[in-house]
Amino acid sequence: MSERKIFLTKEELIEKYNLNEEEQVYLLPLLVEAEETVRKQVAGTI
Amino acid sequence: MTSLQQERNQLILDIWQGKRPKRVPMQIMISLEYAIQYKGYSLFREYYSPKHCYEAAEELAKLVNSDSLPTNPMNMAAVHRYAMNRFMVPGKDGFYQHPNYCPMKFEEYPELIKDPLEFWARKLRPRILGIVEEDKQFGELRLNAIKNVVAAKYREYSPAELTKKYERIDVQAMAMMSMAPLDYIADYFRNFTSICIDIRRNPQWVLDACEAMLEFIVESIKRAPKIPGKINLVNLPLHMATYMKPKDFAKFYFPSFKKLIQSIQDHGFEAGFFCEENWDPHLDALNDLPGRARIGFEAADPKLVVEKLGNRHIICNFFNTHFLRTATPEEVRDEVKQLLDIVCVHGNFIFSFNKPFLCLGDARMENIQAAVDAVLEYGVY
Repeated sequence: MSERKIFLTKEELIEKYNLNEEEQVYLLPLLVEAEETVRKQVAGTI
Repeated sequence: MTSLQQERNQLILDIWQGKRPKRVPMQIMISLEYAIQYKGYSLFREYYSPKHCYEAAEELAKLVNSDSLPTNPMNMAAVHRYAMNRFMVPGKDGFYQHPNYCPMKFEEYPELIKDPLEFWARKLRPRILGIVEEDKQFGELRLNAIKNVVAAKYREYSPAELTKKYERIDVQAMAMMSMAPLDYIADYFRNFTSICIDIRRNPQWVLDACEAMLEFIVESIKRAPKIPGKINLVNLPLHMATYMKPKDFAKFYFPSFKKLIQSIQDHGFEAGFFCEENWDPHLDALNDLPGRARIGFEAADPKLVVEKLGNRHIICNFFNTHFLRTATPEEVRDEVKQLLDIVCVHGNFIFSFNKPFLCLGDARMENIQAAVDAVLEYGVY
């Protein structure tokens, strides 16, 4: 398994998780929020 | 608290205290997946929306007059998906299943025996959770992030809200889900097929692993939070026992399981476990357990259970879910009556179906309601 990028965009999440159109309605925003949370955490200084 | 809720709580309190309640309590369990489909929602779409899950669970609470809340609106499907959890994989129908995946190698038993926590956290979690495997540095952080995101969305759509609104039992709390030590190894370390071979290949390793896992589980129980004033339950679904010969059950399964039940009680919790499949060959062993437990039976003979266990434990389930698929409401009522005639002898029975419904085709709503009405009518002592 290749190393994951620090931050995946919406489009990259759709591709990585093979999300169908229905899953993009409610599941995708949760995954995007998780990515944003991680980004905020690791981009900070403390 | 309303008087109806108090009345319902009293049924459960009485039964735990060994008293005959006013009537048979009911704890009907209907899966969120069933509720989602019943509401006309999709397992690909609304299943991931806490608001819609809450609506679906509320619909079932309105329709099913069980003493307990029939459907829990919470689900962790988004967490499993983001984590790429190999133990919870969505099927083509959107339903998550636990496949027979085996993350641990046979020759790794000594590592498990030496330190289950180290082995689990460092070796197995990355094999089970794809996100931890592919992002060694931030995988656990990612996991925590998605858990917090989902938990935050459920804050205003919690089962506690529905329990209060629909006046259901709230005197019982699930402190934690756990497993018998051998089941833990079979479910999460090896798998059902491998463990059966391991017992023949190196019985001592399996025995030592059960003892090591017992300590591992007990350490988790010690840390489980208790809610004051509630019956704090540790729930255990029992898996492997019925796939074992009685001689193997007595040697490999029961000793560490019995110690676990003792430990649960020693730490101030109550044990509730579900005997999957037919436990008729192992019923005598249940009398050898310490204290009083709540025991559910999927396919054991209810007459034999009553005969062998008497009032020793609380007994529940039995009623075959499959019956709700094709029978008429009248036939369901008759079946409930027949079951109550058998199991209500000692006043220690909680009515529930022997399996939760998973798909819409598993049960007709009018049959679920007929069963509930029949318990309310015939279950009065």
